[in-house]
Amino acid sequence: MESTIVSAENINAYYGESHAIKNINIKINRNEVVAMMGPSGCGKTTFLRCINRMHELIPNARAEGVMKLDGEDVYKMNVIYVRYKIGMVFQRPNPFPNMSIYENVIAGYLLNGISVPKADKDVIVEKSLTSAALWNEVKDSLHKKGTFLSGGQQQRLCIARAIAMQPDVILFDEPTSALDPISTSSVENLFHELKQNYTLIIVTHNMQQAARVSDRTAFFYLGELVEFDDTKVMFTNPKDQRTQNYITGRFS
Amino acid sequence: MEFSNQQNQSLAMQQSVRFTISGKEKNMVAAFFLSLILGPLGLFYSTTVGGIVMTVIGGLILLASKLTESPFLLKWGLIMVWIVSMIWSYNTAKKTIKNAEKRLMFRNAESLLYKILIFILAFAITIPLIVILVYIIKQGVTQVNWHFLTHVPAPVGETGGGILNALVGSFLMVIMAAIVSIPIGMAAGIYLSENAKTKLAHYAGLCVDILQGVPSIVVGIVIYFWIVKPVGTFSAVSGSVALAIMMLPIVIRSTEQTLKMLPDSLKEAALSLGVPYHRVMLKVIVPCGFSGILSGIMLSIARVVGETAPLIFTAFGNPYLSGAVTKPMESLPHLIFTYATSPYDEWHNLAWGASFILLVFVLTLNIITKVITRKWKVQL
Repeated sequence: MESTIVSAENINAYYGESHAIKNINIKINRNEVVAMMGPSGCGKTTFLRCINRMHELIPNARAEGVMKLDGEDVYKMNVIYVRYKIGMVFQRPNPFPNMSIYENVIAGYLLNGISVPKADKDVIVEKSLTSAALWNEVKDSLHKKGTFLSGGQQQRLCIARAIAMQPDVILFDEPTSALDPISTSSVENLFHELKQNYTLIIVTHNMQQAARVSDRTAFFYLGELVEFDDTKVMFTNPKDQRTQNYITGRFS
Repeated sequence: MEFSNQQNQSLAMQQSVRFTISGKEKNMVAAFFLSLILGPLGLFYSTTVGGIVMTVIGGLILLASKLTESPFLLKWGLIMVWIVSMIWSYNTAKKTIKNAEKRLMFRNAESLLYKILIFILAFAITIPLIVILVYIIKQGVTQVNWHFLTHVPAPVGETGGGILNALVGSFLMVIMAAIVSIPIGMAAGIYLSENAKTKLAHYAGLCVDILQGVPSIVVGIVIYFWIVKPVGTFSAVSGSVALAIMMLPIVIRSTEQTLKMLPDSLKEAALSLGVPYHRVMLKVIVPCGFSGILSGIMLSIARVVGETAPLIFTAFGNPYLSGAVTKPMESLPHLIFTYATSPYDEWHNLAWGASFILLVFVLTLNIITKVITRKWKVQL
C-alpha cells in the first residue's frame, strides 16, 4: 500500500536574488528510498534543506510554496516539530565532539531537555545503534567520545542520532561523499534496512549510488526537476533528453 | 642517432645552467675578510659601486660625529657601515661564483648560520624573563611564610606583618569584576561570532578593539569621575568596575575567536534535531568552545590582578583588613606600589614578598590555562 508522506507543491527557493530551485512538484511515498541526483549546483541539496526548513537558516535565503508532511503544511508547523519528524544526516559526519557516543545518540532528547528514564534511554541507544549497524562495534565503548570513531562509524553514529528521534523521514545530504569505499558500502547497506521503517531521501551526485540504493530517482538540472521516476526506468529508459545525457556522461 | 644524442646533451646542458654568469669570478672568503679588515674600502674588491657608496656614507658619519662631537654616533655608525660592507661584499662575490656545486655549498652553510642565529635570538629573549623571575624570587621568597599570608601590614617600627588585607582585597575585587564581565563578555562574544556580518557587530567589534587599547590609568580616571566622585568615597566596588572594564575586551575577543573556529556543521547538526537556537548555543556551541573561552577568562584575570593604575583612583587602598565593598580596599599591586615607594626597609621587604605572591599567582594562572587548553580541548 502506497501513501504519500512528503509532497512538494510549487516549491521555489531563493538565495537573495538568485533563484536556486524553480517550481518543484514531487510526491514521495512512505517507506521508499528516493535518490536525488544532478550536477553540482543544480539545487538538489537546497531542495532537501527546504523539506526540513534548514534552508531558511541561511541569511537572505527563503522558500515559497507548499511542502506537506503527512498532509500538514511544513511551513505552517512549528519548526521544532518539523525537525523532530524529519531527521537529517549531513555530508560530513558531525557528531557532537563534547559528547560520548551514548550521549550523541540521545542528543536529540538531551539537547531538547526531554527527560527520559535511564532504562528507556538505554533501550533507545541500543535500538538506534543496532539499526545503524554500529552497535556491535561500539557497545563496549559507549562512553568514549564519538569523535574517536572512524569516519564511516561517525557517519553511522549520526544516522543513529537521527533514528533515535523516531522521525518519519530521514534526509541524507551526500552522506557518503566524505567516506572511503568500505564505509560507503556499509552506509549503503544500511539504507535497505532503514527502508522498512523510514522514508529516506538521499541527495547524491554519484549515479551508481542512486542506482544501487533507491527505489525512485529524481533528476535535477539547473534548479528544475527534470524527471522523477522508478530508478530502473530512469537508468534504462529515461524520457527526457537531459537525463539521458547526464546518465551517459555527456555533460558535466 | 648520434646527432640527436648530441642535441639532447646540449639541451640538458642548457637546462642545467639556467643562467650564465658573466664577469670575473671573485673569492667570497677574500671579499668577506677584506671588508672585515678594511671596511668600505675592502668592498672595492667585489663591487666598485658599493665601495663608493659605503665609503661616502662612512665619510658622512665621520663628518657628522666630528660636528656633533658624539662618540656614540662614531662608534655605532662605523660598526653599522662595517657590517653592511661585509654583507654586501660577501653577497656580490657570491653571485660571481660559476661553480654550481660551490654555490650550493655556500647556500647550505648560510642556512645553517641563520638557524643558529635564530636559536641564539630565541634563547636570548628568554633571558630578561629569567633574570626578572630569579630576582623577584630571591627578594621575595624569604619574606613569605604563614605569618606573612595571615596578617595585615605592621605599622612603621614594628617587625612582622603581612599582606592579608591585600590578598583579600585583590580576591574580592577580581571576583566581583569577573562576575560582572564574564557573562556580559561571553554574551557579546557569542553575538559577535554569530552575527559577524551585521553592522552592529562591526561597530561593537571596533569598540572592543578600542577598549582594549585604552590605557588602564584612563579607565581609572573615568571610573573616578563616574562613581567615586558622585558617591563621595573610594570603594572596592568602583575598583571592580574598572577591572571589569579591563577584562571585558579580552573575554569578548577570546569567546568570539573560539566560537568562530567551530564549524557550522556542528550548529546544523543540533538544529536538524529540532533543538531551539538558544539551546544549541548553550548546550553545543559554548561547551565545544569551552576550553578556549575559559582560557580567555583565565588570561583576563591574570591580566587585571596585576593592574595598579585603575585602582589608584578607585579602590585606593587600606592598611587594615576590610571586607566592606563600599569602603576603600587594599589590593596586591596597590600595596606593592605604596610600600615600595615608602622610605622604610621593612615595607620594602613587604612589597617584595607581595610581588612574589602576585608573580606566583599570575604564573600559576597561565600554567593552568595552558593545561586546560590542552586537556579539555574538544577534538573536532
